[in-house]
Amino acid sequence: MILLKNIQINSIESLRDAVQKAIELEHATIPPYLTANFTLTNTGNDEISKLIGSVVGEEMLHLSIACNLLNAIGGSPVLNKPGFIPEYPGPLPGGVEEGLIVPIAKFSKQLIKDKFMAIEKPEDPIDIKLMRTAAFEEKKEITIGEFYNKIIANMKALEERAQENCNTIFTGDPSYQMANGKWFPEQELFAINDLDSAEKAINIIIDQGEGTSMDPFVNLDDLGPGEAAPEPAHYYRFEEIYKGKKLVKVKDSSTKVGYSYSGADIPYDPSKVPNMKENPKMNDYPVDSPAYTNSKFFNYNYTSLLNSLHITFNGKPDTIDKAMGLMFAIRLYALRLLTTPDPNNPGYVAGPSFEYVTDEDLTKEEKTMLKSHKPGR
Amino acid sequence: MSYLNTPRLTFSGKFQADPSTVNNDPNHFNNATFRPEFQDYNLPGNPGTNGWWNPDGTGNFRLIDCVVTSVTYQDGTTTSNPEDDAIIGMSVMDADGRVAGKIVDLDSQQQGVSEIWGMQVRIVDDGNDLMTGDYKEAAFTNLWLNRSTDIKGGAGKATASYQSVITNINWNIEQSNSRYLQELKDASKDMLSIQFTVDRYNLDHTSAEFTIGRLAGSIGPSSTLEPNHCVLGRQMFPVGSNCNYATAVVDDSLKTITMDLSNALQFGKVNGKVEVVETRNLTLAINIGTAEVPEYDYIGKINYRVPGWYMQQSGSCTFNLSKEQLDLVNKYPLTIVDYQASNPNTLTLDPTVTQVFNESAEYAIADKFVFRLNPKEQCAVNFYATELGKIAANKTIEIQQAPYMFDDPPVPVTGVPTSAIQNASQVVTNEYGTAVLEITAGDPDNPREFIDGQIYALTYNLEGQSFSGGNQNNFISLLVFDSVKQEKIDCPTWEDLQPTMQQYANLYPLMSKGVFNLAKQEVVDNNAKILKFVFSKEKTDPNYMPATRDLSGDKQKMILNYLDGILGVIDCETKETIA
Repeated sequence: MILLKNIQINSIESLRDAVQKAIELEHATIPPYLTANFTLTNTGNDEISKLIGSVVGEEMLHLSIACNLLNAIGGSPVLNKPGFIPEYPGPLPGGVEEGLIVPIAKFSKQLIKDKFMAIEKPEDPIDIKLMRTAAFEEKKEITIGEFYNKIIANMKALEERAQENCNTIFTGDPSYQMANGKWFPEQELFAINDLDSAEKAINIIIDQGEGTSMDPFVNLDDLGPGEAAPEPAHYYRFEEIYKGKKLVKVKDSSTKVGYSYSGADIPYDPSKVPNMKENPKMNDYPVDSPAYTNSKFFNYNYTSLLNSLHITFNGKPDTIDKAMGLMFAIRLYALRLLTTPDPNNPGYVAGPSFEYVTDEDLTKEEKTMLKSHKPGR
Repeated sequence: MSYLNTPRLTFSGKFQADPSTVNNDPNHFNNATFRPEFQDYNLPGNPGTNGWWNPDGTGNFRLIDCVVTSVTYQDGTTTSNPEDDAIIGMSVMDADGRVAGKIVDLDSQQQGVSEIWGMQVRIVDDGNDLMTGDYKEAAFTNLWLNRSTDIKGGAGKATASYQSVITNINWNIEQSNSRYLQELKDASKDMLSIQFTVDRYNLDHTSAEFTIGRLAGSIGPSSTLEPNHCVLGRQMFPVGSNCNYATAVVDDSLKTITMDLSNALQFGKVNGKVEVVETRNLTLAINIGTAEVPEYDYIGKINYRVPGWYMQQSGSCTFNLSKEQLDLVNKYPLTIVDYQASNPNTLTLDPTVTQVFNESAEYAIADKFVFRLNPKEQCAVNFYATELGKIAANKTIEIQQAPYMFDDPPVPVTGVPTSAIQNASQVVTNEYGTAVLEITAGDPDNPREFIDGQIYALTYNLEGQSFSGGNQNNFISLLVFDSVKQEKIDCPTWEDLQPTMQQYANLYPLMSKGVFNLAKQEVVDNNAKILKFVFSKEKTDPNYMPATRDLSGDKQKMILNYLDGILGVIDCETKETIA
């Protein structure tokens, strides 16, 4: 279970800050999940890859929901600043310092168990009822689910107060909502314009991430039409991978409904997974190495992806199409890195580092050199 | 107006061209004989084998580490000092909010006109876009295989030039305080002319610089009255050895002549540095005599020996003209001679000088010269005729089909059936010096069997001249696609699509191994939504699929109808749209 620092929400500004934090948090899981999934390409582990891919897709949905929410309450999502991407390895945004350290690493069952399941772990796994309305104001640390529930509770309070003054906190421009049904079904990604739609949207995030308090499977209402029901929440999907078995509903002797990892096999063959050195960094590679060049191209495309998402959620929702193209582009560069030897570590291959590269490719030294150039004709 | 007119800037740096090369061999299109090793890198020491030098290419074309190196203002003054103008040192970049532009061959059997599609161009200062615009797709020209003497054979030794226009421009220069940018915007707010020359390309896939080469270019004003891909100017043809085409523009009001030699001179290593290795004393002159008995009025020496000249000035140089010279230059052809230092300080008639470049005084050129056509489609070739750089009316341009321009068998036969393209055999320029040639495509009916459609070449020349006497780089290349039976388009089965999809899976391994293996029905069916998205894009969109832009209109419709069937959008039997 990942624990976040408790936050104070007592004004519309602090609510917006909290939702921006949610955007950063939703994004932060994507690089580690994507990297693990990249390393499964063409390794014969398609079943596992599909499961991780489905989680990544939902994290992207959650990111989009959080951006819609922030726009709805009159904020402006920020997705393209250097600090937007967390340091890997490191805690997730908003996480407590002594908490979980998340790496960029190749797929392994240990990674799933120690890191991915830990990120997604609900406060109380399955049959212990999660009291969403429990008072958490006095807690120092809260779970992701509690974090979102806190947003809902405070949003409600702020909206009630606003309405007493014949006002609303949902002051955002409706045209900024990304809800075109193009890439996510409209049941999952819809316009947020009032308390009901906001609460419904946040509950999708909580449910897909943690499951409901009584059921590890995602509420059928929160499934897209293309999604095969029933689908476990993220934590249980990762546990399926770890256990190598699908999660199924079982009835025990006392006819109580329970759940067990006794479904179809989810096979794992580690033999072809590329041996990527953990937590690659562009500047660790010598500048004259193919690893550096491809790392730079990867990061440039990744930064471009964040730029396009920033534009998407700052008034031009159709720009999501450009972001889609970039999502495939980063995959191609990641796969290239995974076939490029790591120049510093014999026996290893390079990997994607998910670093923000500034708009201009020149190094500081190159810039200085150029600026000191004297006119010569 | 063009990149050679003021207000102009020069920029230089590097480029990346990352094409997939499995399709460099036409026979790799044959699914029946395709072998997995065709997706591997060259056999060691054996270029042109297996998947050639870059089987895992992404197709991307990028501008890398390019910076503005100098500007020339509207009034002809110039600077390369950032203290004079903040534009100096700013970056010239491609997109950072969408995928990169693409480098695209017209056809496996016409790889000499590679185009850039879908590229964005930006002028960037400290993370702020001051100018963004779309690069209009353009093919390179003036390919010169013998450019770099220090590089052994192949594309690394070669050079070529791209000229195009930037449109859909957004300006954001209020904060920049750059006099140059303000002048450029005032002069040419809606469209800019851009040219760059690329060379010293790295084909070694073990190198950090793999798929990267050197780039030097210029940006200047543009006008809808002028061509997009060539300059209405003075066309300098190489007559000596070891040089290539150059272009110049005379500015009557500034009394200057600006010459682009970026693709004209040879390079090599001098004391470990890459410099021009031209040893002749190149001097620009006006030939006020005749071709047979020349008489020279000298304008000035070409300053290519200044260290760093090429990357600093992007291979261009500007000369001031006296009033008399301006009159002469508008009456007589230019020439570049090897001026002998044995006649010190006397820029006078010297019959012993050797001509290195001569002006092609009467000149005709097709602006855009690469076309893709589906059966029954038409394209318009815009010709321009000039005389000493000025537009020339009432000039007859003759056009011929020229199947010999492409490779001979054993690769599939090209240029037949000749009946699949119809066009007039001559056109005459109007008062603006332009003429339009309409070309109508028929159905080639699959003469190349395993490659869709057919390629055709049209050569042209001014009446009284010959094609071989002109610049042969600019002949017209056409790819005419085959048609598909209407019932297959309307109601396609997977079997109808499979050969085409198999071909893409074979030829683009990075895509088929890393993203979608299009040869597999389940993959196509499961990804129908995203595939419909990319297959239905405009060709100018960088996300357009296939990146190679070699899919016929009929096959595109067939694929989209198939995907719509999978997505449940249309029922092909009843032709009804399902709500």
